[in-house]
Amino acid sequence: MAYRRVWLCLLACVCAVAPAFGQVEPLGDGVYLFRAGVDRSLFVVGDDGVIVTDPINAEVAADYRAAIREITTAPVKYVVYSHYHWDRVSGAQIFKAEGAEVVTQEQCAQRFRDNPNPAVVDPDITFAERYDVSVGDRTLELHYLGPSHGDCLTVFVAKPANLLQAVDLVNPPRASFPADPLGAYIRPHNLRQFLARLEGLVADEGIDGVVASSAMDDSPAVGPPTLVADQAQFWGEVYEAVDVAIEQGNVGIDSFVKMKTVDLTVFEPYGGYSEEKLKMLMRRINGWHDMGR
Amino acid sequence: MRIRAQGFLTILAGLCCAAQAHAGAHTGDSEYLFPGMPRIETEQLADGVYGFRHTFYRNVFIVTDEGVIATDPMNARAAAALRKAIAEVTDQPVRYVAYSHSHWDHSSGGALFKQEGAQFVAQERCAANHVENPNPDIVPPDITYDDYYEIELGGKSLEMFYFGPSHDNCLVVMVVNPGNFLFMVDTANPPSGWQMHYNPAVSEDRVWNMVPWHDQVEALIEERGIETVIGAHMNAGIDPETGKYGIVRGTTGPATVVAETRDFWKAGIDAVRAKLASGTPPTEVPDALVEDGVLSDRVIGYTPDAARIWFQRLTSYAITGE
Repeated sequence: MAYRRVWLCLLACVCAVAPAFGQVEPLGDGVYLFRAGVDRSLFVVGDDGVIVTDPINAEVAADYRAAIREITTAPVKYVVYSHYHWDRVSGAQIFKAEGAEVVTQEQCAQRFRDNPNPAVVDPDITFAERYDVSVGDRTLELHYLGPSHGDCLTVFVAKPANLLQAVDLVNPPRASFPADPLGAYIRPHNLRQFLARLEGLVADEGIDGVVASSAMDDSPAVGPPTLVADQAQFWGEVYEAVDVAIEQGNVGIDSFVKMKTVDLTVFEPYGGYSEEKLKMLMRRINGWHDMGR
Repeated sequence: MRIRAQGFLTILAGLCCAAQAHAGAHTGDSEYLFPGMPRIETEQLADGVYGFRHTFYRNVFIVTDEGVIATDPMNARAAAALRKAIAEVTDQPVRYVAYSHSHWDHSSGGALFKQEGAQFVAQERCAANHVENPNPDIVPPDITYDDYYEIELGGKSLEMFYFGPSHDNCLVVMVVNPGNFLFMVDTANPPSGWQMHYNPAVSEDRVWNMVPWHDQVEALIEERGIETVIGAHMNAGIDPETGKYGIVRGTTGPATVVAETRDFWKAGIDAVRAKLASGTPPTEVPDALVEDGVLSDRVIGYTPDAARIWFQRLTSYAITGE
């Protein structure tokens, strides 16, 4: 089925073997993307140090460290986790060993205590809603906007570059279906509110670009700030389609929306589209209508 | 296999549950859910202890000389039926309503009990969920707790135990006395723990904690000498009395259902991990497990499509930790 193909792509991302010395993409004002296979992690280079995000895993982190050394001899001072999924945040030991402090949102830290993984380095610094880490005159702002993809996903804003990254949620070149077709990671009760706050952040911070966290199909490293609104629109379309299906009695006894009643042309332009994937997502949203979570 | 061939009945039961949840429990007005199965049913399980079923959902209530302890009102329609059922066995007021978890399909509709003065009790994370994601049909709790709370009334009791995230982040198990029953909602459910979940994507289950959570429930069963579990759903399964497969009330069953459910989760996770360890690419794990027929003869309601989704979910868990 089509959604299975998409899921295969997800796992291909997760499990891709990083090339030696993964590619570095400079984005300006000290911001870089480290690309390993189909994963991308942002890092910020300042006069007196480096801020690293999401080390991915130990093998990738070794390449990541080497790639940074090609750019600067400054030490890595901070490692920041975007969320708690192991496929993004494992392997920080190499940075910890050189003295970096690990920063994460407090609910991520709680999850690491509840569900420990020896490959994940425990955080030194936690925060609730906002935290900034700086190297020289460059700053990575950390914004927690509530549950979205998991419970603790943190949005990164690099200053003065005015670049934003929302890992696993908004990815150039266009608004897309989530990589996980089962929708188990999304938090339907707060996703729209999260995206509304994200749009507000884009406006308030004068964001110039949205930075990729994956690199499927050689997608660009940066997309326009309007991508956030586009992604919000995608989710709005999914919620609305479920609302309509409920109102019109088009939800089957199996909790699936009767797909023949859905205007698929609304969804076809979005990245990763498949009818089966849409069907699973709509079921997830319908579950929220039933259970509230 | 017999079990596999019977999958459609399991799905039927699940479908009915879903239909009820989705339609706000409005599954029709007939006195019977289907031939031979009343829509609403009250069963006395011990002195003052009753199981109350509304369509496919079940709760328990405890009648004492000092008032009634109720659980999960489900929704306004079910709660009204529950109030009527309680009135048929006692004139005592409902003094407490205890929530098993935060999901709206179990915790809605308690307003009429609030109006008669009942105090509502919930694990503190459930209370937080209801604040974070409010629903006007849910009565907010008056009493919250962390790991444990006991309602004692008229020499009878309802104890609530929180063992961490499982199905929802605040679900508790309840020990009911008299009877020494364990009331479990949306986790282990008689008649069998080897039951494919209605939603095989198990989006609301904290996969990472399901085995340790069931281990803790088992430890409670051992410590308290509990022999019987009350399940919160009527389900499809093999009727222990007839040996036939179909929709069975399953109000109560042996406490071994908890170990079975733990083993169900563990078997799925172990199968995925073993496949990954053998070098099978994660992308191929679900199909490989289905093609190998893994657990097909063990899981009631097994279908390849459902199993594939379940194995996908477990593979994602193995990689992301969620």
